[in-house]
Amino acid sequence: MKMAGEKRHVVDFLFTLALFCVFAASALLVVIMGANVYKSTVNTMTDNYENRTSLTYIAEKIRQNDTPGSVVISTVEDSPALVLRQQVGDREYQTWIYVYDGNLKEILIASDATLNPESGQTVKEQQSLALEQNGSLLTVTTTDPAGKSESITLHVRCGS
Amino acid sequence: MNVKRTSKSGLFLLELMIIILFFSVTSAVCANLFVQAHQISKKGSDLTNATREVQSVAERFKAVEGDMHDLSALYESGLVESDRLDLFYDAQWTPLGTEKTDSSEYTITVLRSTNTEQQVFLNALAVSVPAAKDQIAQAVVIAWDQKGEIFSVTVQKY
Amino acid sequence: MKKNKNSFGISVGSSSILVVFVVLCLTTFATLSLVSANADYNLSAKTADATKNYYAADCEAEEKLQAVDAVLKEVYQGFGTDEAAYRTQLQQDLRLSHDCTLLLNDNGGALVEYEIPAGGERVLFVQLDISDHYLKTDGTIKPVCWQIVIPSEEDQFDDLGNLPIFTTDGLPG
Repeated sequence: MKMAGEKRHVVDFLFTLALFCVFAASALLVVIMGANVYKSTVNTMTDNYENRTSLTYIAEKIRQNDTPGSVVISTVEDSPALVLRQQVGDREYQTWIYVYDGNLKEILIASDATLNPESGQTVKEQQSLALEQNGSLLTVTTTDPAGKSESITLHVRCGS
Repeated sequence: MNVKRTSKSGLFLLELMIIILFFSVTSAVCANLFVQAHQISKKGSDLTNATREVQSVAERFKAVEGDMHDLSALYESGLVESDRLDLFYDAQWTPLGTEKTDSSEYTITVLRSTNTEQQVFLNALAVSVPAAKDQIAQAVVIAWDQKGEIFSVTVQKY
Repeated sequence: MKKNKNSFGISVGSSSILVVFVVLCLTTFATLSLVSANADYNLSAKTADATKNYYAADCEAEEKLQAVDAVLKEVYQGFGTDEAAYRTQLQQDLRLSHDCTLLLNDNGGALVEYEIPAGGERVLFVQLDISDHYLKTDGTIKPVCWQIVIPSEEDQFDDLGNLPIFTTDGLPG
């Protein structure tokens, strides 16, 4: 009787332990899956943010400066820059938007002043900026730090 | 003593069963939340991309002053219908041109206004295009997919 | 026997702890995902709304442009011979029917300007050079300003005589 009792006991113990291990393994699996889903959601949101911000910001800047000859493409140390000219009183000022040192920067300077790329105000991280003009259509392409490019085309109403 | 050991094992099993029940209910709820979150983030991403692309198309419409032939020339294609232009995009919103392919998931349609108000059907989506005003080129630029409209604007050029 | 009793004791406790931990993890991840996805979607929706508002204002601006053209033709037909009467009638028509301002300078140049609200604090400010059409039957109207301005910022600039500093408030949404 003692031996039979012991057999039941061992089987019992093993069964419950096995069940517990299976449960623990599946719980761990579920947590890992949940973490992966969270990671992919965050990645989608980061891409969305990068996508949305740069181009909306540049588009808004261009729309705030639509007068004849005010939207010009130039360069800052071999990389394209957008120059928005505005007349304030009797002085002309320029807003330069460019990518320097991995950041999208903006600076407002007087037309006769020299541009120091480092002194621009950083807007956000950006890998590069490309500008293309086709008549009155200006195509702005931005590449985010992850390497993804997006572009927007804008029509400059007042001509250049 | 046998009874005690059995009841201990039984207690553990009972507890494990209750725990498994509780865990499965909770993970079902959480899985539902995850799916919802994923759907919402995709919707937001679609909206951002649609906003950007619709703007690009609308601005081009303004640049060509509403001439649909010039607009389709900008997209390197011939015009099939004089008041409508369809542009296709794949799942990553890369432009696929003006011909529908298997990988096209999103469409941007430019519907130019004519003299009368029109009702145009894009799959199951009904779009009402207002009548054109005198001497003003007008169009409705709409981004849509199988589920319906994502974003649209009305653009005019005198 | 003692060992068996103890090992059962450990197993019973750890199940509960494990499931509490797992449920906590899952709930945190799920809630975080949902909340941040919602926040991100709201921002995208705001941007989309701002864009729609801009295009609505743009459409209205084009319609006003056509209206200004029509008014110029009409007033010339009625008062083309008398410059002073033409000017007065034009100014009146533009202001009363279309909420536009007529500006004349000494060199014979003429400008029409108007503003159209574009959602939030933004305003689409349009200035048209009508010098080619002024006191003539027909002519071209050239837009010389078609930009979004934020009136509160402009006022700031005028009062202090300083240039507006770029802030994040200037971004749409």
